[in-house]
Amino acid sequence: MGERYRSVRIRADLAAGRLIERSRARIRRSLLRFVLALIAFPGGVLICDGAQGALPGDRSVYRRAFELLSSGHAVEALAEADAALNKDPASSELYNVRGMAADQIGRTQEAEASFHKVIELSPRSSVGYNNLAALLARLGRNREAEPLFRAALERDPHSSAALLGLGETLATLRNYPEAANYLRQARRLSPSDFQTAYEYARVLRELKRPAEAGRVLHGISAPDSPGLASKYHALSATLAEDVGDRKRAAQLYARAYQLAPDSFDIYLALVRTCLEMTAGELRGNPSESLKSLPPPAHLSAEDHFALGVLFASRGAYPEAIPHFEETLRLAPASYSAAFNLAVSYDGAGNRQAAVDCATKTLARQPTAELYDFLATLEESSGRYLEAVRHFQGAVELDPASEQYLFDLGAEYLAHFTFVPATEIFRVGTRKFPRSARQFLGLGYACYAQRQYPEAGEAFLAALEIDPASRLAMTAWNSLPAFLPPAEWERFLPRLRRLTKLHPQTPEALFCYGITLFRPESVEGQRGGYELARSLLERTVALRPNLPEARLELGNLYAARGEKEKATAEFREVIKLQPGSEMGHYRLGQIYRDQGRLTEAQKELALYAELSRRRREEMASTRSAIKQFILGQSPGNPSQPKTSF
Amino acid sequence: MGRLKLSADAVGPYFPHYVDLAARAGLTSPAIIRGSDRKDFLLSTTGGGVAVFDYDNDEWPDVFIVNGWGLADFPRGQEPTNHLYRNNHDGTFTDVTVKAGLVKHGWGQGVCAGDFDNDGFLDLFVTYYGQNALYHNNGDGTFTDVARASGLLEREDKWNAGAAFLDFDRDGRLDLFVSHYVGYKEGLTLYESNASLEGEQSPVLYGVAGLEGTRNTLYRNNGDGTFTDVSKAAGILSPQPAYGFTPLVADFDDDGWPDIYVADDSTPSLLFRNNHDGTFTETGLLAGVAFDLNGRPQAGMGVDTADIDGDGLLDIVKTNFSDEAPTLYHNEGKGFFADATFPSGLGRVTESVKWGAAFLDFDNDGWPDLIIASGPIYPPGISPRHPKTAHGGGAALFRNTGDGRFREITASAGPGFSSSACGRGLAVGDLFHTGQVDVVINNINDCPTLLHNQSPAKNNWLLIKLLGTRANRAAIGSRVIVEAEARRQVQEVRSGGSFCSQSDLRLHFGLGKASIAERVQVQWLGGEKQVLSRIRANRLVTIQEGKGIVAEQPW
Repeated sequence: MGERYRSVRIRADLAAGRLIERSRARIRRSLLRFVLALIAFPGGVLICDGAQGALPGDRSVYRRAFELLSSGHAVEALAEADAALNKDPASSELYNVRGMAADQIGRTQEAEASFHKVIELSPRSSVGYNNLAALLARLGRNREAEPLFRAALERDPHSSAALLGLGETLATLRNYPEAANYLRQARRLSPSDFQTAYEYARVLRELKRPAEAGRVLHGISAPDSPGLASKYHALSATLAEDVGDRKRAAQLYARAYQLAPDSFDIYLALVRTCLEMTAGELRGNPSESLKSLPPPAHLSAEDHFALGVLFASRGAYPEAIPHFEETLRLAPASYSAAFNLAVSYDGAGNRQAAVDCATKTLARQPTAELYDFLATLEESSGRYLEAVRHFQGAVELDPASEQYLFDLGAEYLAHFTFVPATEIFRVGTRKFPRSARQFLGLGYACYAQRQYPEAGEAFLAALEIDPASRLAMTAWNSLPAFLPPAEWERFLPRLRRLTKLHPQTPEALFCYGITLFRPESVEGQRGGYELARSLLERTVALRPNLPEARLELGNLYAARGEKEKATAEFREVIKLQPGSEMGHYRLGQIYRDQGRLTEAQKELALYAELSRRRREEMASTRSAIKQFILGQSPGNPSQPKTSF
Repeated sequence: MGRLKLSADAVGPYFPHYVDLAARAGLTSPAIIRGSDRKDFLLSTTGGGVAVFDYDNDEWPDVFIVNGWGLADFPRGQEPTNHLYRNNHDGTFTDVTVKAGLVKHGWGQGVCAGDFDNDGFLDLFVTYYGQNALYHNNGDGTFTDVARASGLLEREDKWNAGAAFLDFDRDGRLDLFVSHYVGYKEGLTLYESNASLEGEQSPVLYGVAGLEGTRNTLYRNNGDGTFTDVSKAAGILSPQPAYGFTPLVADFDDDGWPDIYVADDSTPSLLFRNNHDGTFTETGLLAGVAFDLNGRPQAGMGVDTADIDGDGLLDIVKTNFSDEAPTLYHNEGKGFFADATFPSGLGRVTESVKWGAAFLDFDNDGWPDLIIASGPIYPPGISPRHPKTAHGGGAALFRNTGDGRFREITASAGPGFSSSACGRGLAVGDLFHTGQVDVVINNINDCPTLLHNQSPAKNNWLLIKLLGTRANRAAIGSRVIVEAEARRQVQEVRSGGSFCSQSDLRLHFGLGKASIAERVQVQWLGGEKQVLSRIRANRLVTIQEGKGIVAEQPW
């Protein structure tokens, strides 16, 4: 019963996973803009020779339109191009400029049509293909863009723009190996080009070659432009993370963020890295490091939520709280934010605030998980009756949940209210016949009421469901002292079958072994000893560090007068569990039987001390146990529900 | 009284035929414990000692029943009191409580007998939740409570449990050992959950673990009618606080000095080994009598000792809670014991809460058999929440098969064993001069049980009474070894034992087919060995230290 209360999970369904995708998308879009910009500002790429198509017409008009476009006057450039095209409708250059101008002012359909015209008019030129591909890629139509980039490269194999565009498009389509190939070529042509190096490094990272990616990226200097420099540092930071250098990564993210203080994605990465740094890596706690770098302004509810999740999932609950509070301020109906806020309050030690928050949310939007969580809060606050009512609420809202039913039963058990616990776990074993822990709960409830045969049935059922369950094994091990011998016999066929099905499972072998051993002690020699011995010896061989098995094997050896072997086993128990009372007790006894009285007294003194400490602990635990008093009237909400 | 005649040619093993003669004999006053309608208290669970002892030296054992009390007032004239029943020698008893001066009201717990002033009359020490009473036997059929005068009143009230007279320093004067249960205040402050307390959270009474424990008390007899508490000096206070019930005094390590074993509830039972110098060393753990086979403390209630396998060493039986078997510790010699519960067959006995216990040779075959009284933890009838039921109590009888094993024969032992009264204390003795051992059980909220075996034993017996001269007058602590039919039987005169009770101080030996005891050896406590030869069977023999047999009374 060790997992009494499962840890409450932070709701992250709006969070990290999606954020990563979103940030990737943002970066892609930004890059594509740059690619387009490069094509739009080819720095003099012109369709010139006959092989690529001639440049008919008035070049001055073209130049004027291009200058207008370059200076940010896209509308005027478009008008200029249109006017020129009226006169020279067969000018692929003018259509090219037109396309770029239309794209800049958001008239992407016109831009697309214009670039199609470029292709039509200059089919052997790479420009049209390039530009159309770039436009389509930016619009997310990568599958359409890819063949166009390839067509551009067929026409101009050394087009760095096409190489870069195809490489980036393939990367978007997650075809990283081929993307790397083209980007490598692009880089050879433009070794100092930032965009090429950046994209290539990013793809190398995707191919899990971070060191190489680092060499590529750091082969160029950070650009002057703050935006590009920010991206440069951000990617450097990511690469540093990949090689485990969190401290460097945090520094680089910080630098990137300083250059792009509006970038939420970079801020998120910075926070994450700080939270993951160890105490040795970080001077002070993450909050201190982040104080000088506040989050971007005007974050959305989703952004605050993501930050809250990030902080909370790493235990930084005080830092998470303001973000969840802000999320709720912006999106008051957000259940996840309210839930996480309650969890964070609790994590930050403000249980009452957690209770208040959960209660308020429950009134508005009752859910089983919230009932369950509120119940754990009430339990921790000492309001046990409230806790049990909330656990009941969870079960009523979600009767199909094995977890909530278990939580309710466990609550009763924890407060020594065994009759309701038995009822709950009986229901649990019927509804969830493959749940070992429901049977364990039932077993313990019966055990506490001295219904040992029923407890035995339940523990054995748990073992049959999960033969390797340490808990079931421990439970079973507690029984033989209280079970009448006739009852042990009843269980033997099932245990025998269990070990036949799981001959290599130490827990199963152990349970069978001790069940044979005890009645043998009672009834005398009936042949059970040898089999018990064999089973226990096999258990120890399979799991040498199972102290329970060592102890029982020692007992068996002692019962057969094999004192040396018994001594060795009891010593092993103590080695495995220095605090084992029984280990010391048994070793003391066997020493005594061998006349080694000084050693015996030493072991028994250790046993007595360990025992005293345990009794003291019991005394203080006992004073804290509060039992429920449950009314008998059907209408009483505290009446345990037996049908769900 | 009528006896069932069995054919002398009856085949198969002998089975007794016990009937309950209490009502017919006049043991008609119930021991009372009253609880509360709303709550249950730990104090309601204990008490109920009984003594079989000859207070008037007429060689017919009398019976003393310890009574309890209640949480509400009793109507005037109906307050429960202890009862002394004088044996009328004709199968009946007369309640002489008032005449004897033994009327006392309170939460009586246990009783032991001993002649603390060596005046030849057995005195009584009765334990209470509160302050104890030491009744000096005035020799004229009356008693006087001299607890205050003797220095046995404590400064603070305690939850006293069992007691035993013993001569721990072998100075010829009986000292006194008293065990204590939990802290005094624990008796009335804890309560169990109650359905009427709806909606409340309440502390839980779930076993005694975690309650305030106590330590035992040893009083040294000063020889002038007073006692001195020597617990600390004697080393009795050295163990951790525990929850003591019944002390059992015997020479467990065969060194001629009395040791003390204390059955403790939910804590390790204790064995105080006599160091011969007025001090004791607690050796329960090392001796192997602190726990059960699995090293767990048990709810130790009652105890008795006997040499169950004829090896000359005194073994110990301890009764425990339900789902715990009574524990049998086999004496291995040198003060060490081995848990023989399962090999002895007692490991199967896990029904009922078990209290008083006594070894008795019901068939006089020379092998000590065993009887155990049982009863629910909360006596039926203490409150409407615990009504009288037909289940949960009674007694169980186990035949010693002579090979270290016991076989339960309760169902074949006669109608006296069909009772389900809530038993507590148990004491044995030959009350009716039949040569067979009778049993008295103190039942809570019920009349006592008086089990008399109407099936005559086929075997012979010998009853030995010791009179000390250098040793204390009642010869408590002296040992008798009887040899007959090539077997040796060992017994000691003991005060206390069972569950807070006292059995007849005379030693009953079954001799089997032997018509004489070839040899009777008396090891007087602190004194000489005395050997007597060829003592005829089927009689009471009184042996005085230094003189030999001073009286014989066949029956």
